[in-house]
Amino acid sequence: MQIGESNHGTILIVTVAGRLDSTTSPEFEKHILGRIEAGQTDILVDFAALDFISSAGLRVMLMAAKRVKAAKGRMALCGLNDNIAKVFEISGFLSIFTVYPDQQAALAATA
Amino acid sequence: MAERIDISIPNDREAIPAIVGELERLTEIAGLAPDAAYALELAVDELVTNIISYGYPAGGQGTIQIVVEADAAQLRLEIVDDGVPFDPLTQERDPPLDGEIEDRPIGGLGIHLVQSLMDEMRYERSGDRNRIFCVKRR
Repeated sequence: MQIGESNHGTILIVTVAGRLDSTTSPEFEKHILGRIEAGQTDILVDFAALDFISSAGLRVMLMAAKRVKAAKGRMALCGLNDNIAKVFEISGFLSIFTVYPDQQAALAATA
Repeated sequence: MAERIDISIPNDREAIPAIVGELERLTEIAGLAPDAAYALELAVDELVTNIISYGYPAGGQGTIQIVVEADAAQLRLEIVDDGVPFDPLTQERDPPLDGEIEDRPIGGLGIHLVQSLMDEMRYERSGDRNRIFCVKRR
């Protein structure tokens, strides 16, 4: 797994590449929860380069979403491949996350 | 022709990446479709993690065996461990799948995902081993 970041105005764009599974999710958890704790509560998570997510990764996304919501921030997702979109659907996560096709669409919608 | 992998690992999370490598190799040689490959990798991550978390409450060394067979008709996964009796199908309650963010519990989705992505899943205790079988039709 590789984590990348860029800023777009007040929005932090976090890109995650590779796998978010039981092995890699703890590192992602530490990273994203650390950002939220530091006051970054306007976040777009870009999964365009993510191949795989298991419940370990979903758990981190839910924890992050809960904290962002408690801080009255915004968190959105983009770039889910077909398998990952299906996992989000099966988990009932499509009703709690706003999902955009890609970064451009997400940034246009939140501008 | 059937392709097969058979790996045994200790009950240690550090051993999981080695299985992922083997599963990726099988996906390639057996020409698995993306959805079948995903179901397989997800089932292994969820089920092996569960076994390591709950199968050895007294600590100690255990062995988890992962067997995958792929033929033209289906993909079969069998996971065998020597931990305490543990049926993942009865021990995990159905997670709530709707409601607001703050109402969703953290965790509990793993087995639900495996059951949804696989066509069949069953558990049996035989002798001093737990056995989980999953089938994904191709």
